[in-house]
Amino acid sequence: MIILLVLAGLLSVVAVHDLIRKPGIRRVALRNLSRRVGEASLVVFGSALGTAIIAGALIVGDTFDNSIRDIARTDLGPIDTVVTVDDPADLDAAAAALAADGGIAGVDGLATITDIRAAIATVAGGAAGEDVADEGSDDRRADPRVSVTAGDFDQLRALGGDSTGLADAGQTPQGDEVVLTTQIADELQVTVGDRVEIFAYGQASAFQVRQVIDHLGVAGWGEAFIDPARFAQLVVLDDPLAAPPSGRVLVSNDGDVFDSTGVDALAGPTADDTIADAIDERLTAAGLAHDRWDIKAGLLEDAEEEGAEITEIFTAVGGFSVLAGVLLLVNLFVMLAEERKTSLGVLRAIGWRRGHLVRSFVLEGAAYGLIASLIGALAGIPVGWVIVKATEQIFAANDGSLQLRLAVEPRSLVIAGLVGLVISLVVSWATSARISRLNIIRAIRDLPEPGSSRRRWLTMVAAVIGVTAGVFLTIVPGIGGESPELLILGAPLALFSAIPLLRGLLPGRRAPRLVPVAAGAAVIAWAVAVFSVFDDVMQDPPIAVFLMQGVLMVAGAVAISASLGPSVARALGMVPGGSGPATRLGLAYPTARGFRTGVSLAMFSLIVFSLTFIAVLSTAFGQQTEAFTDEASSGFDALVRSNPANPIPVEGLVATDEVTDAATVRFGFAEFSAPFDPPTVDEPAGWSIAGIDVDFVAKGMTPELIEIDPAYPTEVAAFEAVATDPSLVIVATWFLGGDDGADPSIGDTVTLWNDAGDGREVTVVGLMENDWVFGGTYASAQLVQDHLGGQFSANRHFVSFADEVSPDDGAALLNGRFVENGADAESFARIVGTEVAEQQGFFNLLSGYLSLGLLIGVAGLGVVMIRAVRERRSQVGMLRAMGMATGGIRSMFLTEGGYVALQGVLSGVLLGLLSSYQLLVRSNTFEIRLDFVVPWLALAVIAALPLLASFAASAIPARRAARIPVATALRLSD
Amino acid sequence: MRHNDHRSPTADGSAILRARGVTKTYRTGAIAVEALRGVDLDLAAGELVMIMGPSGNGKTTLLNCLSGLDDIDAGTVHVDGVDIHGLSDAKRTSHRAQWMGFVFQSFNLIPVLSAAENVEVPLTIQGVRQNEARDRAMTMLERVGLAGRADHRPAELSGGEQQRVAVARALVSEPAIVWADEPTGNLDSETAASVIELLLEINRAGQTLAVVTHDRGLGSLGHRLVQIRDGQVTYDGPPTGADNGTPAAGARPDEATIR
Repeated sequence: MIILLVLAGLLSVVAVHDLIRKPGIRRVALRNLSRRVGEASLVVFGSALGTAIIAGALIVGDTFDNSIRDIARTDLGPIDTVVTVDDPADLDAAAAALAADGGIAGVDGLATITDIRAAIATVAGGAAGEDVADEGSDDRRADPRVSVTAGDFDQLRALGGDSTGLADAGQTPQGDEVVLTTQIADELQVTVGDRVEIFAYGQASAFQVRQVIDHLGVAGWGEAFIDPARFAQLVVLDDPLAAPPSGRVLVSNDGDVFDSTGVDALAGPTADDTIADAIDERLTAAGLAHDRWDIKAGLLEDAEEEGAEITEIFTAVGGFSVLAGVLLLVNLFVMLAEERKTSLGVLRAIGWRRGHLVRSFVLEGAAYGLIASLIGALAGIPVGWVIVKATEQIFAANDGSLQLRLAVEPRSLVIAGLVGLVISLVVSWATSARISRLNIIRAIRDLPEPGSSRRRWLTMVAAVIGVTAGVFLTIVPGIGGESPELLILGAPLALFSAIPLLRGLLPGRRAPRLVPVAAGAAVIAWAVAVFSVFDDVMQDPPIAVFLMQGVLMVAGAVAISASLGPSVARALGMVPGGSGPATRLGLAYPTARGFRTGVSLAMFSLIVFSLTFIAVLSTAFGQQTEAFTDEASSGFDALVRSNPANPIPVEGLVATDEVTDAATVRFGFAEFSAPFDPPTVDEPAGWSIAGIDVDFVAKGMTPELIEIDPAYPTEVAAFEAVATDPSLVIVATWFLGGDDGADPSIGDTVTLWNDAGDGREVTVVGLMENDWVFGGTYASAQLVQDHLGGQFSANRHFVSFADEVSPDDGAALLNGRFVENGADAESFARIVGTEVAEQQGFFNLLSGYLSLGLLIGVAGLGVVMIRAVRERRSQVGMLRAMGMATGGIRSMFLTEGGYVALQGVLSGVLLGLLSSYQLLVRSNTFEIRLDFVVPWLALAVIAALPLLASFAASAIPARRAARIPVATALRLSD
Repeated sequence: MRHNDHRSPTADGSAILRARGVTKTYRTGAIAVEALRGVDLDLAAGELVMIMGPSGNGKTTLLNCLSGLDDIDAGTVHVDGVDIHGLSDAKRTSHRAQWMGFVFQSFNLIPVLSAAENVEVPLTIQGVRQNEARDRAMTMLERVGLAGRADHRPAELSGGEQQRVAVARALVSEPAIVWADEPTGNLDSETAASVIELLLEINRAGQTLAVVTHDRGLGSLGHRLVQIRDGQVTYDGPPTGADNGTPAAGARPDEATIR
């Protein structure tokens, strides 16, 4: 932000000075500004939208950041670190070790709890006063995975008073009392006095709700609190497949729990390595195996990362719209210069220096920029709100676990406003400097500027530098340094820079026209092909690279269009109806004004390009739901998850009439480090792991592999090897996150860490492309059992239903039948469908966000058309004098606006299709292989909306032009 | 339709345009300015009529009202017997396309069209086929001495050349009347002389011309001089009879146009 402030200050200091100290410049600038209120409003609207888009992106980031941070308040409160001891019997010893010698410096509280994940269900007819024996009817409500916690309330309250959420919870529950948080109570629709059953370790235990407390702090962590003595009775460890309870020491560091919108929360003390080290040292010295989890620091880091990631996505996608806003400003200033050419010449003649002209324009531009930035920054709030609401809807279809709460950081608004202002000022300075180079006499007489030999010389020098720099960037940092950004930019820089050189060198009358066409085509080809030609460098590139690709392709298209425009117009003139004066003139103006037309069509093309790209991706995803389902299910119908403390026995499933087959995995999360993932070498990263056996493989429940160790002839052979050999694993291509590090390869060695800190090396022998059920790392059940211990419950089953039972019906049946096991069965079609729908929803959201850019394009076209009418009033008068009807005048302007919009839309659609085809079919950029599909309906909408809007934007100026009285029009030159 | 057909009925000198009681008032807020006050005027076929008068006295307004470019508040203007101000805007526009051509001080060429394309415009408005329009435009450009500049855009032509293109454009559809409003106003004296010579030449070929001008020299070259003061015709007769120090008719254009 400081950089932005400095930039804005530097760029505006002259304008501020002139505003205060130079009445002449001020008068000219501000009167020009207020002279055309309609046009000024459109420009401010377009620029403000650009700023609003930036602000919206930042606000969405803020919202994600703050919403995730808020989990620290609702689910942790004063808890900073959670230490889980391997043996719950060691819990008191662990707490004593940590509290010894006055405790650890920086830690202000310790408390112990024991918890399990259990299923809780209502008791039919179990409202207050009724007997639990009435259970058995079907109207029960259940939550399959609730944290059931035993702990001393006084001790827990001592961690942080109100922030624990237990301040008003009274004494520790006794007997069959249970204290529930509002979240669980609401889900089960129970209240104080109602009865519930907790299912764990194969038995059901009845409890009565004593109190419902806020889901806050330690209460949010614990969810359902029961009497520690009753808790001990629940734990009957006679099922080797069930996960044992966890004994945990909750550690609270110095400092308060931050407010949900606080930005400088407790990351400092929590992340302090000295506390973490002291915990480990003390427990290790006491001989207590444990797992330390700096949960709050991790959560805050995640919040920041998630916020930054979502901001990056929306900023990059919004970048297309922001660029459209920049082009709008550029176009405006160039048009202003043309319109005021004569008066600028006169000002120069009477003593204004070039600098005065520049400063006058900059002051005018700064005024536009300032107004637009202020409006835009504020308009970003509703933009952000809409995105947040839409995102909530999308994710609500899935688990809906993250509650998004709109957060608007003033800093974000200031940054967005400053970005908008700086862009306006940079554009103002750059275009004003160009404008000021006018020849006084030619300007006064309104004659075109001839090229000067000095300028030609400078152009040639710049061209040589550009070609050299482009080649250098492509080869050295691009290919050599594996920089996707510089690789994609380098060659186009060289190609565009070469245009003036080749124009001069190539013989023939058509060279000036053909050279830009060839350069434009080459740039498009490069921007498309670079992803497959240099797929090593372009694999999984930053999102900004896609923005660059779009900009380069559109620039290429503009170069082609500007050069071929007259030929296109001639060709259109040959079609029936195309030779009429209105059509002819409507095409003649935009083809003759290459720069203005190019900028306008680029505005449309940029947005339509990105909309098309997203539409193709979205449709490709949608159309492959069935294929994804087949890949995910491998012939099974549903995935059944159950409570780890009370897993459904596979025998029970198979014994169900509707189930024809079932296979089981031991599933959980473990810590990995891998050589291909440098950021996590020192700090292992968590990832899911599924333990499989030969029975699982024999049943065919093996995901599709895209690469297999050559030692194994088939996928099945590879899975069999993994099931029997504890030193082998199969992972997905995005194992350990993918984004931060390189992808895994066959033969890589990965270290799997257990809670005791022992590492076990395993070798990757297969790579999955899709892992819809998130099996994660496939390893042998033996490895999971031996190395990772009992925390891994056999609570995941893959089942097949009889032919007459639909997967959804079958899943619903199992959910009802195994409610005490916390059954959570879902058909594969539904799992994949929900994921795909979520993905498509997100694509739709991005499309909606991008369509704001179309408004900028339409506003830009509106400004161009209004200016066109103003510039040509006397010509309109002449045409009317010569007999052109008012309808002809209207048609002329509509043709002009439509031609520009049509070119922009067509080029955007074609480039979007080309780019998406190349990326989906011919490159390895996306990890998921998708079939290329042309989304005809979406394309029709994408093309029709901007065309209709641009006709509407052209219609008003066109009507105005047609209505000007002939004699008046002939008198007017401005 | 060739407009020679229109001229033929009036070739005997009868009026092809007859204006009676033409009144025009401009209103800006509460201010009303009577630009024309009951003007009566006839134009005969083949005439070269010069309309002169001080600035702001109604010359251009008269041209605009008689040609139908502007509405009138009272009176009538008949062209070939048709009351053009009684027509709808569309019909009047169509009538104007068939009967009239225009040359203005500021040329009013379309900057994005070549000279030939500019000359074609009136023909294409009338629906003349492209090939025929191009042939006729080239013929007309040849007539004004610019055949070699047909592919040049206005910005690539001198002021005199641009005005010649404008003249060619005014003539290409063979209108009954050509109106010229200060046709030499933007030109240096030498270029103006060549344009005046061109206008005289086309009039000699039978074209009816009404020229609004400040230029006394040019004013003296017409068959008739109409003087306007305060929105009224104060003189309508041969140039020699006007009280304006106009040189005698027949003076050389280059001498006459020295201002």
